[in-house]
Amino acid sequence: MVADAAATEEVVPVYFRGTSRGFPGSPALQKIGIAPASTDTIVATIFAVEGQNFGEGVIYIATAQDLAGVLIEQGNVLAKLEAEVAVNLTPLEFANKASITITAVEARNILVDMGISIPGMIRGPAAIDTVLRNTPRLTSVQITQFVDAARNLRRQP
Amino acid sequence: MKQVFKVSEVVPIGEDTFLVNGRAYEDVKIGDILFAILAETVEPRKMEAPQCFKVIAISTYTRQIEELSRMLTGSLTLQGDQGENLKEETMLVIPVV
Repeated sequence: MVADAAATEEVVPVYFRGTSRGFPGSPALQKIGIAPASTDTIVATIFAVEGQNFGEGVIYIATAQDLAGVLIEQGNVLAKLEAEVAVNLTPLEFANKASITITAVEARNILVDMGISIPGMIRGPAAIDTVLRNTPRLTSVQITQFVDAARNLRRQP
Repeated sequence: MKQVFKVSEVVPIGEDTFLVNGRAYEDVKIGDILFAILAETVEPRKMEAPQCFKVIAISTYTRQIEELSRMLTGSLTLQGDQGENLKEETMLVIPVV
């Protein structure tokens, strides 16, 4: 009997960090050396859209290869909602290691092509919470589709 | 008033001490005095009997810190008498004159 290849294939994680370009992170994150990231593209897109209020909203996309040797811990107190992990790098180190960077606008466009709409303006923590609680999370197949589309944009940080 | 911290979970850790998890809506630091009100009643006229708590410790990603910045998630250790007013969806606020 031949095993179903798709069912047994290991999903290689990809880590997404939505922020504004060049943001060094809060003083606390810089001090403890943690870059919050999500394994879900929608979450990162939401934070990237909010990041547009402070500059160019972007998503830094880091593959497991980009983060080889870096400790990745469980996320924080809202980890379930945000599909969050704690990457043991400062936010700027994460940005430098990420092999793909796309803008919030590009991320939203990719999601639209996948049939998912994210608001074009999100301002403040209350709005973030509302959008996070009212959006779906992607399947591993959809995340791969998103990453392929982002790669095809051929943007470098 | 200024919304400072939205509570997602409350864990009593002593008679008058409580750990609250959630997200900072504004910067919050050790020593701050916060008032607990239900999130859906965030209007000045509803603050007739605000409950007061002092922030005595802060942690994020299991690390102890002095200040939790706006937007970050984390845990506040609060000291105050009216712990029954701390619950999921509670908003911690600072009155603004």
